[in-house]
Amino acid sequence: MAKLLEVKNLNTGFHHEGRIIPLVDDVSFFIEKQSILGLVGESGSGKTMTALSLTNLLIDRNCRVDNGRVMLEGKEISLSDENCLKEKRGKEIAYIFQEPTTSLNPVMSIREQIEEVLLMHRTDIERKSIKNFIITQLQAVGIHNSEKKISSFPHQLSGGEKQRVMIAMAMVSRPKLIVADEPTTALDVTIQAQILTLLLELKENFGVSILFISHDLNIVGQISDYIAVMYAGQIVEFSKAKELINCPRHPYTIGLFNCLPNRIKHANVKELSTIQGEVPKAGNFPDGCRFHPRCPKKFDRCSKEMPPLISLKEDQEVRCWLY
Amino acid sequence: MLTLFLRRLFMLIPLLIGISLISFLVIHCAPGKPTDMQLQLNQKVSLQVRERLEKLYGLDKPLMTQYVMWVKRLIRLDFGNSFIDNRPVIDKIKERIPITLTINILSLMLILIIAVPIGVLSAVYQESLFDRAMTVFVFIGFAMPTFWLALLLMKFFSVTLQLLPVSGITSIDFENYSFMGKVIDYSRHLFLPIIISAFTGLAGLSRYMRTSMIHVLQQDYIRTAKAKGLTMAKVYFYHALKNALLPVITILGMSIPGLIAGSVIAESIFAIPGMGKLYYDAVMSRDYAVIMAILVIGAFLTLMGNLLADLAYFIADPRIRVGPCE
Repeated sequence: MAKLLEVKNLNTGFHHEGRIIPLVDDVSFFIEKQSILGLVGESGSGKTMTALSLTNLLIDRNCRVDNGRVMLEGKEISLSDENCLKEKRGKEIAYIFQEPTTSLNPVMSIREQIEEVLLMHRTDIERKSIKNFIITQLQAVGIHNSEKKISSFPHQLSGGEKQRVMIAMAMVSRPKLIVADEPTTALDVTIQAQILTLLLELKENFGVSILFISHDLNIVGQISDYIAVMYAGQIVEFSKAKELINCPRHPYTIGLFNCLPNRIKHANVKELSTIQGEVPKAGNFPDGCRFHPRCPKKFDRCSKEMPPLISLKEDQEVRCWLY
Repeated sequence: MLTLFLRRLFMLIPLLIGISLISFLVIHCAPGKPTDMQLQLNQKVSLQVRERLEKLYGLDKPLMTQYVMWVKRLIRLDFGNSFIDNRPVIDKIKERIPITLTINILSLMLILIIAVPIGVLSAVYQESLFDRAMTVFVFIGFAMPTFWLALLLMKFFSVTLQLLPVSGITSIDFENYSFMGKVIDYSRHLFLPIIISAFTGLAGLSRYMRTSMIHVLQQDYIRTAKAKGLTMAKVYFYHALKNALLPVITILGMSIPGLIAGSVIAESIFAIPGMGKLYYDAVMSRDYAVIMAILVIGAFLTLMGNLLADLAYFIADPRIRVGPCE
């Protein structure tokens, strides 16, 4: 299928007193049209930074995209041109964030917050029909009683409702790509499933692609077409979801799978395993392969040389000296 | 909400009693008496005259009795008569309040108009050259002695350039001016006092605005607003400012009593017959009636300012205005 988004050699760093601490290190991936790419990794592995770098949404003044190309439908997005980025943000690449409670402006009504997206990006909708359009959009994402809810403020809605509002807000401009940064992490499990179903519906009905970020391999495995695994700012494995679930290659990916509680019943494992150690802090990465201090299969070379992303076959890459 | 408001209003009564009692005691315990001004300079005044005068003002009674008498009058909104010229205190204040109020309201508006954008932009371009320059600028205003700045500006605008009048609030032939002429004459006289009052008051609000804005800019909803592709002007001056202004309401509430209190120094230098001058003269001559009237009005306005700020919060913040459930 055709590629919607291509990211090549993305580097984002934290600049501090002349030093650059890499947060996103040489990350490349692509997302096909009408497909979901799952981006997995532990906290601090650079998932969110990667997502924000796509449209240079880095809030911290010291964080900067230093290098890399982002191409949407073959056209490059200039990451340094604020005007160009403004055109893309919300209109072609829309975001859904982790914490719906803090991600909506507390002093603006739901209607106002959705309306400004429409006024900005949907000049085809007449002003008088905006209200009705918003109501139907809220209905479409499963908000009951949306005629009333439209004039509510965020604190009057439940967590699930707020996330639905975020999704509606992202969808009203009919973007080509939705970046969903841990959209279900802050929600109850029952609501989680509903939100995931909703995202899958949006993909089917509107042909939107989704970059789905999560630390939960279970969820990512359920909905993704492709999966990229990140560790310490780098992609360590990238392949089709089925491939990755059935046959994970990188020791880190294997470790992640072993950590899943439901593995116990699958594979005769008696104890829940963990990956020893913790994610190295940015700026404090070990030499060689960044995973080697925690890797059960490490050998001499791992601590000396950083492995490149090795292409095993089409659309399958792994960053490990074992292959 | 109404009951809450009424309860808060009711709570003001004990507070006011406490404040007035303490200020009454402090003022009366201070050395010197209102009679001193009239008597001490004149060696020929006998003890009997002095006692008769003290009796006339009720100064011979015990302090608590004096306080009770004062409160009894106050309940009828009677602030008593001035010890100096025996005119009703309320009349003296009425004469002085318009000019002080005009200067203070205009300078507060000027402060708001200048300090809010300075604060917002300093936060947005934090640690930039603009931010640093503004920090220096507002603190110069904060640190510079009013009398010195006033004299410098008077010298420059009035003496060197001969653009503005030196002092006072009207020209000598004011009565003969047309309406527009009067307005222009007033503005020419009030220009320097207002500018100085605003410049020296910029620091507080602009710094407060900056801190508040820096905090808001780190919030997730600002990232959301940016992610929606809104213009930076809309993100900063709408999404962020709407939230960052909320704590400023408290500051504005606290500035209400300051509106009637004139600046002693500025009013003295520019020869403006305002509240500051009235208060200063009253303290110097121990004019208890005037001092107490100004203190009580000030205390009342402080408490009302706090109450109004809470009320304004209620209107401005939907999280307080509309409850969690419909």
